[in-house]
Amino acid sequence: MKRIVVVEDNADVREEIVAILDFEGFEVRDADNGRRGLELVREWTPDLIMCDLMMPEMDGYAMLEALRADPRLKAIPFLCLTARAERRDMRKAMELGADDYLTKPFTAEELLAAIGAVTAKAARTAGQPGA
Amino acid sequence: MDDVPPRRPLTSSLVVRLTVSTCVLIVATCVVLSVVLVRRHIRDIRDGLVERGRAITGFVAHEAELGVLSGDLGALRQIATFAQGNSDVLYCRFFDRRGRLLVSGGDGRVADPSEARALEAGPVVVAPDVWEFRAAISTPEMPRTREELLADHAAEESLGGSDGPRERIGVVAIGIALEKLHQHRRLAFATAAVFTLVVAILAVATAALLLHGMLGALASAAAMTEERGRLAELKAGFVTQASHEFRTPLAVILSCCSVLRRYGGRMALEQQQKRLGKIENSVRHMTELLEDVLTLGHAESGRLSCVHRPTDVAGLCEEILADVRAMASTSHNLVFDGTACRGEAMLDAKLVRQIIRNLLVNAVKYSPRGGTVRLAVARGDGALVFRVSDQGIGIAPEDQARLFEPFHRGGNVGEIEGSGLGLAITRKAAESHGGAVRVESAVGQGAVFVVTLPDTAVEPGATALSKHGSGRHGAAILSRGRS
Repeated sequence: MKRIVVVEDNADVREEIVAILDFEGFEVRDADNGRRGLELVREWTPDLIMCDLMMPEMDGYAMLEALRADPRLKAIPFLCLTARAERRDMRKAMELGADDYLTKPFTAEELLAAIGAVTAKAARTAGQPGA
Repeated sequence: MDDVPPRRPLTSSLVVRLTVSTCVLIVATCVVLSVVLVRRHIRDIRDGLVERGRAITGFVAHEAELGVLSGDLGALRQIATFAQGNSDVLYCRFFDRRGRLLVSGGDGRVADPSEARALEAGPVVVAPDVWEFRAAISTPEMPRTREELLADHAAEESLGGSDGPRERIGVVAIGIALEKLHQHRRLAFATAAVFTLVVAILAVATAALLLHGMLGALASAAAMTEERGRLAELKAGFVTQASHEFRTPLAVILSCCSVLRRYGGRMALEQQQKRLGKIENSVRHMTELLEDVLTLGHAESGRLSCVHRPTDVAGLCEEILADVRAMASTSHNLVFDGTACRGEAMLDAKLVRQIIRNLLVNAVKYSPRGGTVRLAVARGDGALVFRVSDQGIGIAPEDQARLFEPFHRGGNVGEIEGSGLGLAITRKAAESHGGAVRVESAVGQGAVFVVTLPDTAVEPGATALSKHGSGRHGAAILSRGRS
């Protein structure tokens, strides 16, 4: 698990996430809206996508739907970042196929733990036949 | 308790039905009562008339005994005349034992003489409005034995009348006109009808008034509940949005701290400093947000007081402009045009400062470096009009409608920071001052914010506020430096 795409519209938060991932040795590319994020995923094919749900132009939900519709991309683990801890948003994201979520504000440890969990789950499903 | 059935809500239809039912009930009761009373009244009159008829007839029959016995028609005629002297008596006729008419006095209408033979207890209806009373004219039977004669004499002397058997020698028929009865009946019904009508009108009128009142109360209660629900919803929305607005700066602070803590040692000093700066900015951002939310809260609950004092308008504007210029002198060109406004006006300097400063700061924030921001004030038609214009990013029409709502920001603000509450506060402040604020703008073509305040006559004797008076202090509380 080396390549991560970060999609987050707030520049300050995005910068910190990228810094954390960078320091941990991941290869990171970032985008500030869903549309550009989608383009990035299509051309770079990362191992993990981290995406804010509330964004202008194309929000996280729309991006997730587009990804799940593409057979080439739908297997990529999707981690939601959201400022709202409402259950309704979480459920909607999970129903659309997100693998996990992380509520802002979060520490570096929480972020890395979430990545770890998603990675482990992906490895488990990849190991199973017919996945 | 969950098993207590909920109280049935008092809906307007229920109220209407109850009122109408009560009304109908009252009127119905009234009608029934009236009918009952009228009929009883009529019956009493009728019975009285019957009694009277029978009494007269009985009396006449008694008086006519001698006349019939002796065949004295003259006497009979006298009696007939006397009988007709009673009110309502139409005629008086005497018949002999064989039913032949002896004397007929009065009304020419003649019943079939053969009917005179029949004797009935009650009145006979001979015509629609004529009752005929009949009585037998009788005389005591001739005593046939010596004992009977003696008994007869004894009876006559002691009682003055004979109790013995009597034989019929004739019939008297007296006709009574029912005109009066009919009159009474008509009058009684008319009275009852009028009474019922009056009661019905009163009942309907009272019901209408009550209904009007109750429906009005229900409607206003419903409106109040709806209003309260709407306000509660707005407030909830406000709270959700406000709390949401805090999460982003908090996220920035937490992640910066996290990064500094974990990787600070591996980071260049410049990088560390940058992050510390971001933390500071976020704290400042949240503090601004807090202040704005509190101000807006005060404004919403009507706690923005407005105290009018004679104020030098141009002077106040220059002051506000100088304040804003202090923070934007290098980046923007601030111009004041006060030629169209001279002298003093009744203003609350604190509120005006808040309004105008907010607009000027916005103008600077959303227009490009080197741009011009102009403040113009003019008075006329009882209004004081301030115009703050800039050459900045402008506001799209779809944003303009919601521009003054809390947390609403234009779709084209991009990276420019703002709490989204400034204009909401500005509008509240303008309204507290008795005025209004509106915007004229198009995307990419700058914006003009127009504030209209009432221009009331300056009251002589009121103390004027000097340029360096307490207004400054008030501004310090309400304004904050935006870097």
